[in-house]
Amino acid sequence: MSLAFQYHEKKSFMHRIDPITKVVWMMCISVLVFIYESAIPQLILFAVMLLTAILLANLSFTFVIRGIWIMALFSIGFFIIQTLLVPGETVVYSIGPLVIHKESLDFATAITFRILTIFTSSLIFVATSDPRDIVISLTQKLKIPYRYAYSLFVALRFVPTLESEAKIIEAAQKIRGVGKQKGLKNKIENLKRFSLPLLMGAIRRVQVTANTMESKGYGAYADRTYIRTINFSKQGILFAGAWITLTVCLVVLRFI
Amino acid sequence: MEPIIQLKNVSYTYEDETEPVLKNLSLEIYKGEFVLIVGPSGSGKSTVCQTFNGIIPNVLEGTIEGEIKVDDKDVLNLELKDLSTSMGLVFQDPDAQLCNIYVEDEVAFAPENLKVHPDEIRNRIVDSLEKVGMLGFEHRKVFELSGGQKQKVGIASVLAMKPKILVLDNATANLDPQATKDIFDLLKVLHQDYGHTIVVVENKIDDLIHLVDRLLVMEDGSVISAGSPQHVLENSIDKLTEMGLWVPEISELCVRLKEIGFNFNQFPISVEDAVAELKGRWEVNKLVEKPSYNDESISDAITVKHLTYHYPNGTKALYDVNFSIKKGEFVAILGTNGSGKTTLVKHLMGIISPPKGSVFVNGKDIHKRDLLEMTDHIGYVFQNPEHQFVADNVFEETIYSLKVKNKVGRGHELPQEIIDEGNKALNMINLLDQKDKHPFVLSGGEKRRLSVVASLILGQDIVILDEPTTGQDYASATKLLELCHDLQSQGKTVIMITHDIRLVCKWANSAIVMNNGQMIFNGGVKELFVQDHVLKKASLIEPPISQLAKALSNVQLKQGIITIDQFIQTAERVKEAL
Repeated sequence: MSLAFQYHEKKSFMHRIDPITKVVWMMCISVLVFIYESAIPQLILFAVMLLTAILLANLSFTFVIRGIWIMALFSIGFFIIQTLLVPGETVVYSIGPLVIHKESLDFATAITFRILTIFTSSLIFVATSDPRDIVISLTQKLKIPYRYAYSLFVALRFVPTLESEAKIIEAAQKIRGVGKQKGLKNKIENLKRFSLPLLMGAIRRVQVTANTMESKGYGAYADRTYIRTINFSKQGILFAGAWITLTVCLVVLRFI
Repeated sequence: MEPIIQLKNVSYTYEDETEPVLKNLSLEIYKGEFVLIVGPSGSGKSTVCQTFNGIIPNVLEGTIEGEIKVDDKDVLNLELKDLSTSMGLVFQDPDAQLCNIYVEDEVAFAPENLKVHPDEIRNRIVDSLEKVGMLGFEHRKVFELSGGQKQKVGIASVLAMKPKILVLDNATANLDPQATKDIFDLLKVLHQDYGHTIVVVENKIDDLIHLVDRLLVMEDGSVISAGSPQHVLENSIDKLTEMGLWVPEISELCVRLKEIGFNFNQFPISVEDAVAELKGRWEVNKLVEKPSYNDESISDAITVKHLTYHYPNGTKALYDVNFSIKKGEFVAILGTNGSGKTTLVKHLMGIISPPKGSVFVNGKDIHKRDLLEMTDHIGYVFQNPEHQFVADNVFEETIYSLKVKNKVGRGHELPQEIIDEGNKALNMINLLDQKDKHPFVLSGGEKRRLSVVASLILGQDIVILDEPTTGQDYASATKLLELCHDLQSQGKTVIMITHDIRLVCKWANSAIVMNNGQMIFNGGVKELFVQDHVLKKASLIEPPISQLAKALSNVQLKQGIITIDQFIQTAERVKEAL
């Protein structure tokens, strides 16, 4: 996953509202992308996501593109296949045996942007939510036992440590001559060479981490206190309320 | 007085092991005491620490016998949470023991788990961070801090539980000397001003020994000697050295002085003690002649000219560095963490490609030379030997680079020359009888020596070692340095990044000192220690012997006196012992 897909400390409307409210917002988006099967509403929804990212979340356009480009590349392939394979009636364009129909183009556009919209909304969620707040929301608001919620958090804490260790191992082994031998068998062997020290280091570290956490009273009681509390803000409630209302109205309009 | 920690006849065997780590061990630690535990690796020091707060047997299982009382609580019959307010434990690896992203959350973590009221936790965060001198770091990310800062946060995070006892298990092993000294100074404050009972397990005790009330020596699962540091060192220093432990250099000297008929009122364990005892009775006044390490006829192994480097993010890492290293020299590269040492040697190896005309190895510009090609000329030993291991057994590990170079693939028969080379190398480090073991199961010292010979199997004549002695006891550090010395006497050039000043003084010829990306000293080791401004600027901790020699000398020294032998040779007894 590209580096864009992580929390970016900034000040914005989306940063201010709590993770639970943002999850509600994401759920509304998911419902909306699934009730439409034509291009225009999907394009509008995608445009709304882009505007949300830029105006409400204070993320730059290039940041969004960097965050979704792998998905975008994948979508283009998907789009082409869909355009060619989905049956339709009105011919728009044809080269030799390849015929492109208006209906299939419309459908392909719709489902391609459906994926991109969902992906962009997740990007906005991750980029604007402090992992601490996500964990605290899970335990304080959704009453998930903190032992489980925290394990996710501890894993996040060790990502940078593992990253830098992986870089060192790569350089260290290159100097020994790893990588000089070509061929698939050697590549697989090299992967093993690389993972063993990384894994050994991680396992040892995890043991120490577990010991420290236990001796700091982790899991001693079923619940714990928090110096940070998550509050639903007025803005957040309004934001979620507006999206729920909009979604309900559109769903009703669509199916009546 | 009632002991705050009391172990009676404790024996403990780890799960899945047959041999007990602790054997019928008894010890007492009193309220308000500052106790230092030393012992060779595998003697059970860390295990003891973990019995204090019930990690053993609550988290690490196994069979335990005996009686453990901490703060009037029966450890073996209580849960961890009942013990956490009695003692806090700080470990060696700063990265492993901090499990939160922000400093503030790390300090709040324990009291939150113990259901302390948030307002009270807020107060404790301020208190704890103030005690360790890290106020203002509340909102910083843990992984962006330096090693020393991380350990201070580690200490603050256990202080937040308001423990009566603080236990540090090798907590400074990964730090540079200045950061280590800062932690020791902090312990002094916590002990003297705040009345904490402190138990410390350490390898290098020169800067710590004078702070402690009592020294416990462990061997093979039990305490073999205990008492005031003066008493223990005066009577069993030989035993400690034999066990492979670092002993204070000053005490080592004083034992030597005793042997030649000197009497002390009180056996010195620190430079101050020794100055008080020796002032007016010993004098350093013979001037030493210049050493001949600067032989112009020998050609350069490495030449660096106007080397400047910026990190990709724009931060300056090296600035106009110029030096040359002669063939067959043993050079130490010194400086605090972050001063540019590692970045510098990475340029020598071509791990970071140097600009044209800036780095020459054996007279040839290495600009644009392939890293793999450089491995034919330079062996580079990384800090953690495990990172460099690539094979499944010790023998294959040793000859791996030879196999790659001669394109000996799987299924091919090994040429006899390669087998001979491998055996020769393993013989040099006494590992031949362990050639079928997996490299990962060797001891720490063996792993390092193996990674040195494996890195040099191609017969390179330059070897670079990045902090090879970190966290090692005296015996294995010495063995490694002897290996380097052997390599040097074979005509190889040895370049070593290190923090171990005492080893530098004993084994290296010359030193390069880095500070903030600039080279501030390049010359003989003996000359380095008379340049006080360099020492101060680079936060180098002067070896105790050199400090003592300066304090006892009535002339301005042109060269430092940096080893015990030199001290005894150059010092003169001015007044007979009383």
